[in-house]
Amino acid sequence: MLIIKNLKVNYGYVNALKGVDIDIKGGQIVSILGSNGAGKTSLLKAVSGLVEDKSGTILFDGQDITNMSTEKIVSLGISHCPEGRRIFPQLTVEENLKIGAYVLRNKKVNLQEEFERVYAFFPKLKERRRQVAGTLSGGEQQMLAIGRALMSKPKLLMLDEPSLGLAPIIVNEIFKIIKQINSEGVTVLLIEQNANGALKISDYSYVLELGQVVSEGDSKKLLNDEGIRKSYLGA
Amino acid sequence: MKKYMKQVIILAIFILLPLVFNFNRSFMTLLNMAGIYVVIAIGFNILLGYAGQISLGHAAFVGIGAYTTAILSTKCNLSFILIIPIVILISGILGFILGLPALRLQGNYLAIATLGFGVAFSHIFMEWESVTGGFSGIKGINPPNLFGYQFKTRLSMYYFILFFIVVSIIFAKNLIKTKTGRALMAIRDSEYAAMSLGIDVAKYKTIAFLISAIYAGVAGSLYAFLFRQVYPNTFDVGMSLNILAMIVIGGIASIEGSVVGALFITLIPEFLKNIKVQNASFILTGLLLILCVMYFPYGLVDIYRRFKVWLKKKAAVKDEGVKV
Repeated sequence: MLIIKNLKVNYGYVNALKGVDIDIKGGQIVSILGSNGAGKTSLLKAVSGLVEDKSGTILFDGQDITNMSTEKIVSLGISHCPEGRRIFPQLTVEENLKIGAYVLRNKKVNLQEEFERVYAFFPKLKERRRQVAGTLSGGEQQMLAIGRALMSKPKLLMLDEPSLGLAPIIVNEIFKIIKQINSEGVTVLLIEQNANGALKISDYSYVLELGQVVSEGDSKKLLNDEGIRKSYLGA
Repeated sequence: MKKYMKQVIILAIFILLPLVFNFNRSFMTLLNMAGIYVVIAIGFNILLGYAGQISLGHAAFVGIGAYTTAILSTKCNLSFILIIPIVILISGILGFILGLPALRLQGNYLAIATLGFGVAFSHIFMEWESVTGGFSGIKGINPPNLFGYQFKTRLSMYYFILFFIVVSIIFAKNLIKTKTGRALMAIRDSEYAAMSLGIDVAKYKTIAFLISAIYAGVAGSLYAFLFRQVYPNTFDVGMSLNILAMIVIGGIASIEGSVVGALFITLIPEFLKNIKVQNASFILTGLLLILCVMYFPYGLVDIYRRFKVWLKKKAAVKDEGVKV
């Protein structure tokens, strides 16, 4: 579904990604692991067209999207849920979701149906739909951020560290919902520092280190891999 | 119709106000000035309050509107019906141009760039004598003429300006409810998230500058029609800062706040005239500015909002008390 070939990203003199190859098959959950500064977020930004200085090829359903505008990429069906939630705190929950459907603005969509589709995953958001988003709890804000990303009807949902700064019990809940979203036919690209959780829910995983893929494989295999366990699972 | 009852009543009050009280000419002038500031402040609030972009050069657009009106009226004898669309066009184009640095600059740096824009224009008004008349400005602007009726008196100008205020408010209120309004607020709250959702940040930032410049330009046109003469030192940095103070005191990201702030800052010196303290109004404005930033970051309208919440809470407690 998404094929990334020899992707390089530079910020001035800093090489954030030094030639990365990634292949995401439709219907899967693929996770990308790595510590801070490994280039995980740069990878997502490059796919959604948010970085200027990049080279290589990104194919989505066979179409070259490397140099497309973000708006075009989102409307093709790639949705990016940014790190640290980044909800719009002064708008209500429903207004946040409406902005998520921004790229559908010229198509005839029944917003109410879209809201209900998101609320089915996140019943809590429905209860709070008129509430100002800044007053939500951290977990609810993360749910809103994911829900907002779902509003553009993505085929591929890219999540940047959805577990960041959340209580373990909430993290489990979020991971469960991600699994549920995937079972409804949305391919998921998951970026995580929480390697344990990410390996457990994903089908295939890549490990990034200093801008390069250092290992990849079925998540189950990686979960039992001695080297991975030592460096990322702390066991 | 019932939905708009409150607005209709407020409008009726403002229509009847000068008829009932029969204010003197100088107070009418001040009221008209306040009305002009209301238009500017609404536009400025779209830029600062809703889109989160700062400008310290907005007096330039007011000046451009005023000078364009003055020149077109004295040299070309155009009617205001033609002048206002031209003012909208010119200030819109310049607003677009000022919006361009905003695509690269943020926060303090944008403030400095726009300040430079403001200073540059106040000098252009002074120095470009062949067009702007230099220090002596331009005199003899024709009053607006609608089907033979001339808006010459302060009272008639009051209604002329009131009309523009109503249009400004309706346009702004609708704008913030549309996808454009939501996109602006999304950019203000998180540029990164807005971008990742496919919102064209550059486009909407420019739109915000363009719209607020048009508001300021039209207000400048009203200014020229009110006094029928323009002078360069009116449109200086002081005016830009005044506009900023209005919406900080009135209420950021609130149309009502823009109206309250503009009326407050323009009219307060008149009410403090009788106090025997020099510059009492400046002192009060300064103090209020500090207090607002510290305790009411959403301005005077926020006090009202909080008061309403407090009343509701109190009523709720009372109800419960009866039950127990």
